[in-house]
Amino acid sequence: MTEREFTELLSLSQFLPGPNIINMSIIVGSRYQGPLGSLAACLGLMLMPFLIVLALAALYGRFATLDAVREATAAVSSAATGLVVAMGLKMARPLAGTAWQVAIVVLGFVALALLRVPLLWALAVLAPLAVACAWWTRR
Amino acid sequence: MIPPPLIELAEQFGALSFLTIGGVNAIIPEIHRRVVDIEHWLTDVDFAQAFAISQASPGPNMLIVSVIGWKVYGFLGALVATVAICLPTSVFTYAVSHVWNRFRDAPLRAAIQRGLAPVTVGLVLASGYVLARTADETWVAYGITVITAALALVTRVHPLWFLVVAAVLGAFGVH
Repeated sequence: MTEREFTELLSLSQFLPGPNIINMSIIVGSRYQGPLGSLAACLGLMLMPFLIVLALAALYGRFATLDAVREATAAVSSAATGLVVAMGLKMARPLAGTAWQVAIVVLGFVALALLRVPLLWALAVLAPLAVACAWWTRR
Repeated sequence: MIPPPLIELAEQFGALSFLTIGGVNAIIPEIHRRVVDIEHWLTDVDFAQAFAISQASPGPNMLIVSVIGWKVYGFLGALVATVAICLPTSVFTYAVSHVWNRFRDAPLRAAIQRGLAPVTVGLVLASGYVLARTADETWVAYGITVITAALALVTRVHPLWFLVVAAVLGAFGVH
């Protein structure tokens, strides 16, 4: 696979709905061995992380009675939240110069964070609106 | 006879599959709404713990789904929740990737991609907000979130280090 092909597949897997990394493994796997290749790639990617995260969850369940463990986990979730915020702001930066894109970001934030609208409704309104804006302003 | 919790997990996360645009970190508010607000499977504290465990673990962000499934119904719950959120879109992706080359340069595809970008950003920022409201119970906790976000924006430190430092601080009672 060339670098160009890889970039194209990556953008496709981010563009399609579903967990991005899973989509990537499905596409790459299918290139080589059809459905079985997809299944193998997906399992290969997920199996170890899946088992490790469950082991961590089990360990946590066992030691959650200790104050230090609970406090450490709470602090980790606060820091990880900060990482999500940073990711959102990084992604927002290149959009800042375009009015309709800023408007969509704000609408999405207000709907999901403040009004807690179901995601399906929010997407049903925002996605067509945003794609229409992109279509009208295409070069 | 399939235990009812497994069926409910499959329903909830199966329904989320096609709503996952821009990755699992973008749909945290929706996962929280379903799992905490509607189903009452987890409390806010449980949810924050599941998030912390999944982020501290190596692997994709979507592991939070596995941890939630595990909290609801053990190993089988984890398996069902994980497969439920992956399977529908995986089948779709498999089908679409084969006809992809025909649409690669279509103007509509470019418009969809450019249109969905700000939608995703709004969702990720909403995720950060909902997580902060869920996970941060004290001013110190909010401080950790804000400082981590600021440092992650202006430095190139590997993200895992922030979690390690937070864990150490937390274990010594700074929280």
